[in-house]
Amino acid sequence: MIHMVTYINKSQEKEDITLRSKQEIADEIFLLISRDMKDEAK
Amino acid sequence: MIQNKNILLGVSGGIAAYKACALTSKLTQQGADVKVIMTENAAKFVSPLTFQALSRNPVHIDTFDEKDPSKVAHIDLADWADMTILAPATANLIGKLAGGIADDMLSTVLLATQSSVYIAPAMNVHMYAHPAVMENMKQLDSWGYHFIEPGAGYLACGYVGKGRLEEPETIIEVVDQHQDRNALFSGKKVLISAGPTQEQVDPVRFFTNRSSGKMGFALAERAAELGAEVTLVAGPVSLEIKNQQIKRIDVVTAKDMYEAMHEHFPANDIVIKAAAVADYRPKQIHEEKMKKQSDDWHVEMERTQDILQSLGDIKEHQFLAGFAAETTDPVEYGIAKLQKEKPGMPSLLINVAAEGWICR
Repeated sequence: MIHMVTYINKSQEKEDITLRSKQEIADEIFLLISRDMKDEAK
Repeated sequence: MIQNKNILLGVSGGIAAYKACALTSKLTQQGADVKVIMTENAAKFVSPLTFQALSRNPVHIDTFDEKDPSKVAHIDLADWADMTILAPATANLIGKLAGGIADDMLSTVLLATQSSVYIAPAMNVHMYAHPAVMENMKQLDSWGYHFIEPGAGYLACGYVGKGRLEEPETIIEVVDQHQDRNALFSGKKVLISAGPTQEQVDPVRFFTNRSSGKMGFALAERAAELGAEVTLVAGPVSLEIKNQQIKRIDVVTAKDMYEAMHEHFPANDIVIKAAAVADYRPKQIHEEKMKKQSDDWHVEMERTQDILQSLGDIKEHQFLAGFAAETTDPVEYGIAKLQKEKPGMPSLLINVAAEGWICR
């Protein structure tokens, strides 16, 4: 089953990711979180 | 993240072995110390001397080629590596690793190393799609090996399809990103909620929702893989945690989840609220089962506490992320929620299943 994750961060940037599994979504979410955490640290 | 790292490059016997030369060169240029292990078949495609010249290190092929009597070569190499990259990884090498077979230098080192292992497969399109190869890759994935999926295109065997070794630049980018994330999450404390809640109305009935908990459990497993110390607060689900390092706290109601999340929130660095917590619960819980009657039964509901909102209100150093499951206008709704309700929340994650329901 294909799931879509729409991610919105503080600056309201939107990103649509179509992925195949919960594991891949989890991986992508941590990539997005790491990106946000780095932005916050700046 | 590649600079000053000790990288073992495992090269197995496929035509894509020639791309491993460029990979060796690029890794070395970026400041990594690269040691190459080749299978005997790989040496039929590319000369070991090429890798020796590019890496400026001896190339290893034979398990019993013990040049230094004070060391056991395959253990020494396994311990030396900060990370291991298999490129190209043939179906045979993937199968041997999944089966725990150690019958040459490369496969022996692979069983001995504690380093992160990145596998970049390359093979014929039908070989890649074979159930045996797929099962082996799934097995390795579940053990924490990282795959760099092959690209699609013209293959040396004449077929067009998936199976082409990813380009060296992309392999390095993927490894770099992964190492970067590992460094970021390693040692961090991560609190994740998952699953539904059950709100009892009498001893045999309750209100709940269709959340399976799979998303939250996948997040917990991934966070643990990234080196984080994970606490998972789970509603009633029939899922098991594979990684025994994850601390699991089982709860039933929205109130239980609120209390568990608040208890653990101060000690955590990253908090992801993936649970589908009930927004409403029955105002009255009947001690005895409500008897069936001829007319309608009206259940008065009251609001539960908004966990995400309350955590956002007390947030200090924590990175807080939440899910909002919407069936209509998810992006617009998410932006509005981010602006109005959650001033302390740095990010919001919205998931919508393509088929209309979340977390099935």
